[in-house]
Amino acid sequence: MKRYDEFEIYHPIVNLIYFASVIVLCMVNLHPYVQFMGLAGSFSYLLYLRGRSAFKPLLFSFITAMGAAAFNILFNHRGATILAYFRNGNPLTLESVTHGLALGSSLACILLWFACFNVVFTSDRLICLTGRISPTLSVLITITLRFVPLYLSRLRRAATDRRLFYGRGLRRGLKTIETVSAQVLESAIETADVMRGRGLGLKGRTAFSPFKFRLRDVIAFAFIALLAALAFLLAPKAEYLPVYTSENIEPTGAFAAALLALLPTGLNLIYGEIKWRHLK
Amino acid sequence: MATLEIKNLSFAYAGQEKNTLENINTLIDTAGFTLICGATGSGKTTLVRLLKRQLAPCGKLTGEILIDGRRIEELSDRESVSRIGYVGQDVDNQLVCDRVWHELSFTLEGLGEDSSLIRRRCAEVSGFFNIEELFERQTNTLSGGEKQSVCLAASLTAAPELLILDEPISQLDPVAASEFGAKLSRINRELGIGIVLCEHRLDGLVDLCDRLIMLDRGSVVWQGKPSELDRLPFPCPVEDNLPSAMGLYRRLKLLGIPPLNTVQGKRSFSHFKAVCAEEKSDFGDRETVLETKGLYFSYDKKKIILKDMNLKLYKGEHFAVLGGNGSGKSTLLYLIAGAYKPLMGKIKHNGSITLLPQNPANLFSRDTVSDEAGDSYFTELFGLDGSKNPLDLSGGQQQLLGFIKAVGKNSDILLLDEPTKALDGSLKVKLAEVIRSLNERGVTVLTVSHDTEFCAECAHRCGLLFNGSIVASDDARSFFKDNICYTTAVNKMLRGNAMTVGEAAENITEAD
Repeated sequence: MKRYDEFEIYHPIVNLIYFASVIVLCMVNLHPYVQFMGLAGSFSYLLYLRGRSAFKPLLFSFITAMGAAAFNILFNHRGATILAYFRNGNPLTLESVTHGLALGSSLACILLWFACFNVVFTSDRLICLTGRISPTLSVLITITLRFVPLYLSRLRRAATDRRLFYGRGLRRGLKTIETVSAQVLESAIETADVMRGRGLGLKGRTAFSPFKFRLRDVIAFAFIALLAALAFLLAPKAEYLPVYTSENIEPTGAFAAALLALLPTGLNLIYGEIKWRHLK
Repeated sequence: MATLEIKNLSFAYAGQEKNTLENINTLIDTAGFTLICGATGSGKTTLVRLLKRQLAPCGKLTGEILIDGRRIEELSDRESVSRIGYVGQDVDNQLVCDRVWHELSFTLEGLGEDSSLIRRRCAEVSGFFNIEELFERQTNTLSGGEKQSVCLAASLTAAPELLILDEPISQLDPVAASEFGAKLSRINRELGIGIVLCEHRLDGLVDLCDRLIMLDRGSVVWQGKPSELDRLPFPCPVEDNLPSAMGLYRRLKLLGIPPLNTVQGKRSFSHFKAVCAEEKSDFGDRETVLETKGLYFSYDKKKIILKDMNLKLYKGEHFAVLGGNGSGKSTLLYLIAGAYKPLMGKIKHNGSITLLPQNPANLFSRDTVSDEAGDSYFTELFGLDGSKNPLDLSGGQQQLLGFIKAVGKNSDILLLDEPTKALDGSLKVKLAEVIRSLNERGVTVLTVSHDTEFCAECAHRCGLLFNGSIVASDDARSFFKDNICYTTAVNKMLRGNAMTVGEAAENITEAD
């Protein structure tokens, strides 16, 4: 069962702009403070959303981050502070280590934010957004989203049936795909008829969406846009190569970045809890 | 009265000389419940598809179809979409969207309605079919029954005057089929939306409809109200598919309006009883071919499907397993066939095993029926056209072709998963005969099925699968005699121990 999420009840466009801005921020700003906030925000939100099943993506992103850091340390030899020399004579520099860690952390942030995005931004949100642009496009997407799992489940079934009947083998496996594809094409013809019978192709199609863009969504949208702008412009930035240099931490930017990264977790843990307690 | 009038309608598919429909004249009340019946290939589907312009097949059409006096070709696309709803055979092909809410709003979106109307209609139909809980679900996570409800609901959002359904019940098990029939009846009575239903399996439908049109080889052979069914000539083209009560009544050539369901049958046959000779088929001294001992199985950690499942089959025996949807009947067959490994317990078998899956089309890979079947004797017996593509066959015919292939493997043990699904009554009888002759040749058969009539006809022993194991296993006749739900309609309405219409007709006597 999925957990109740305070952030999810906003309109998909709000979700989208939030994830877009927070991911881009973690991608372009490698300052340790921003990275720390990014990691804390994505990590806590994913943990909140998925509970124990958050372990796998966490582990995966940690390993990827470490891999990226190691890669940078091994192959990037720029930097002013030399710590030691590799066997082939290349230097190991302090800057390449810190830069590697920052890059790894940025990568981990992106992966974790995408893991959250996957939970929150369900297919119906995608359909709703594309429906705004073009109703026909949203139909195309919904058909695809319906078709793929249907095809795969039929394929699995047929593969089992044919393996039991004919035995294993590569050629037989290919034949299975052929058989299922023929069946699926047959049913696609029927589905096409059904869709035409239900008004696909008539002029002036509209797109229905179960989500409404309310005042609170407008406010949330504006708030997130403001935070993102402040964070992009004012959050401290850092250079790693050739020498580590960083701007002073400026309170407004720092606060905006922290608030942006911790927004969903904060909404759930603080605002949500207060609200629920109040409701009781 | 709103009407749909069909005048001198003949139709031939493009490229075919012969008319698929021949001079059809009928008047359909668009507020009523019309049942169009006929055997496979009688032209039912062609007829109903011609009623909806978007679905009309290509070909040569003479005569005319008038809706409220206007020719159907004169309706605009928009009118045809909104006034006439259509639901086809396979529910998976009817659902086109990823989410239930999109499925429900699809037609109205197409018609260009605004969000507030769509929201209101979605709410209304969800309430009517009690599917509010499903509104945000993904369609591929729904159960079969839920899919059916969503499908019906989606066809009603545009508020059509007439709903056309093409064999929606043939793929369903009896419980789901009767629920579906009840839903259609509600749509008709409570919403005033007309129903045109074509179906070859008539059990539980004849008493719902208020008009019956019977087709045979493209012509109307009989039409009238259920209360005029005493004038239906005997035998009619769908004799084997009639509800049991009605079939038996007609076999006995009794006078008056035949009973249409079990309750009416119970009244009509209250003076009768049918006692058949008990012929206990004892296989106990034969060789054991298949045995499962303390079988446990589960697909995941959440739910155990089979618990302590014990089963023993003797050589040449036909054992039928009955049980509700999702009780694990198919799983049992796949487990025995070796598709999965049991969690615990043992399966011992003495001989080769062939499994005929529920969707036999999965086994087809050739271009024609005769290539696929190989054996001309069976294709002739079942009346299959050898030159056709296997995928062009009807559901029931595909089932038979799969059966022929399975038999062709000459295995010692045959596992059949719902072999009578979508099968015409007359072919069912033939299938039962073939299975009996296989048993005589020493082939052991294990069937899982919902079809009590079929199991009573040809199984030696039957068992009920419930909560993971077989809870009742007995000689077929005693099994059905002691059951109150899982038994045949004949047993429910007639005293004695007769199970099928044929048996009852032969052994019926006046009760004292």
